[in-house]
Amino acid sequence: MDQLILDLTPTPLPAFDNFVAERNREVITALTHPGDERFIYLWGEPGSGKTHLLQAWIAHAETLGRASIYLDGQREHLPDFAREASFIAVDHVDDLAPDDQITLFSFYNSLKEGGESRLLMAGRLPPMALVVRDDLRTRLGWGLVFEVKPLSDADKLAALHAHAAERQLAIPDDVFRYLLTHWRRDLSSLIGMLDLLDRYSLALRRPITVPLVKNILHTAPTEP
Amino acid sequence: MLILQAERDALLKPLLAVTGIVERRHTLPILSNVLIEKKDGAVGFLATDLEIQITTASAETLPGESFRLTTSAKKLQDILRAIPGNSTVSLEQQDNRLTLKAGKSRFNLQTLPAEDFPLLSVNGTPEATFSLPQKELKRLISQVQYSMAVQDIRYYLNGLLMQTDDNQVRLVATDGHRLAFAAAEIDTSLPKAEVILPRKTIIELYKLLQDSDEPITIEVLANQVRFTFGSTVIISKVVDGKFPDYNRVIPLDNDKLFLIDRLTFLHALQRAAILANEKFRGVRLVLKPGSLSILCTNSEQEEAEEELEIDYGGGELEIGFNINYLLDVLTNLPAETLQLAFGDANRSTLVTIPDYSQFKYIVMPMRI
Repeated sequence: MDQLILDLTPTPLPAFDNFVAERNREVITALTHPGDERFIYLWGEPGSGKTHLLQAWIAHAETLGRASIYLDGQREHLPDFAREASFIAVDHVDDLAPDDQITLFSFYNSLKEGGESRLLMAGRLPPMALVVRDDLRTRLGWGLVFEVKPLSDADKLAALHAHAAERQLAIPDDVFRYLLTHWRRDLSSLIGMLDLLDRYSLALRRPITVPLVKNILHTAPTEP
Repeated sequence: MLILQAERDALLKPLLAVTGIVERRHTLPILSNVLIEKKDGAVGFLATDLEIQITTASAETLPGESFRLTTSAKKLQDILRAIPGNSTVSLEQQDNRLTLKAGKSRFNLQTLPAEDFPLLSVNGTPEATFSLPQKELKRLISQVQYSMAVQDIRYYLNGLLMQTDDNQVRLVATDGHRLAFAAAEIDTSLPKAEVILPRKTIIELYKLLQDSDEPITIEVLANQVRFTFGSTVIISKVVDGKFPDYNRVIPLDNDKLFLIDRLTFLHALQRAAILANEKFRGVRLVLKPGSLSILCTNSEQEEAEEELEIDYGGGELEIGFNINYLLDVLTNLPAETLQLAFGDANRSTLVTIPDYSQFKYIVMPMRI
């Protein structure tokens, strides 16, 4: 018998101010104060926060009242109309299908011809190491290129604390440390687990403690 | 030195009004004491747990000197309760001892200096001030308080949201499984303000409110709320936190609607609840055109089934609930007829009073 719970706390949307920026301050500055640079490429290992940054950039565009679109190369084809947007974010560039690589290449060319649209892309590898069409690879290196540095354990702890505070959860410190050593180490998995714990503890009326976490890690599916 | 002489009840009644919040164990010993102060003939009683402070005064003025002292709230209360009702009680103070005499009984109590007693200071000017009849506030609280959480790690759930907005005051309580909302119109136009009142404050306040038309004045301060009614003043800290936006959980498109007589439904549920699982408290409701069935089974495979005739012509639905969540709302609502609005077995159900928008109860189902 599972008690279902009211959806009281919406999941916070990715934003620049909930990105742990200790080691990535210059990336945030480049995204929020872009100057004349219209092409930015971010690379870094999975879980370093590239997707978060892309979505925060889109949210930022919306606060500026600009048309924006987020495209995920892993999940969808790039629609041709996307070039009409002022802020275009293309995630997982390394997974673009050959046709989509051509579409992205043509985005570059039409943006280069004129207008004020901006293009932000992300992938796992630096531009020169990407396995994509040669003409696209050189384009990716045109603008600013940043490495998004992975978070240290201290950064992850800080991020988990901040997320718990955002959701107004009182959680003892040992729970965070236990998660860091016993659960997947990328931040989105850790945050996802915190949200799962939040829902469990509300449904079961139990505080979030290490024994509860152990219990859930044993029963939780290994894939999200 | 004799400092006070009074009928037992003149002291016991105000004392009982303040001692409900005194904690048995506290790191600060003086907090288990009550502050008794006589000034201009009135005897005032004050107790605090540093979160809430309650003061009240004896109904009549009493002769004698002014004084201030603190002594054990629990012991004084037990003594006054144990002596006969019509006794005259006299208090004498000598150094740090308080002697209480009634008839042939004599009690010698320890006191602690009144100047050491911590008092809550009231900060700032009120953001909103309004009054309503005590019985009206009591009615509003009774409609929502059962939905407050108990010792949840989300502190904002262990309390009651009080919101003022123009000429409306709203109370909302939720434990994440169900949510109760009650509102009332008041005469004054109020600024938008909201505070979360701690669970303990609500429970004490509810105990002290009378079923009378006498007014209670509520002042919303920066991080405190002050309630003034009769000679009683409650100052309470508020819960530091943001209450969730309750509007987002009120279902608007539930289409399986019917009216039901509250007491008929309540009694049927109470009977079925006898055989509900002790731990999970699950109940299955089966909705069909013209009928509502209530089914409970327990871990020993015993079963209870009730069937109610209802005026309903919509689709069929089978949905599970924690039966206590249904009993709570049915017990605490004064209305004769209720409207139930179901969506599906995984979405919230809405309980309202027909032609009355000032009350809403939203309850999440249980997967059975």
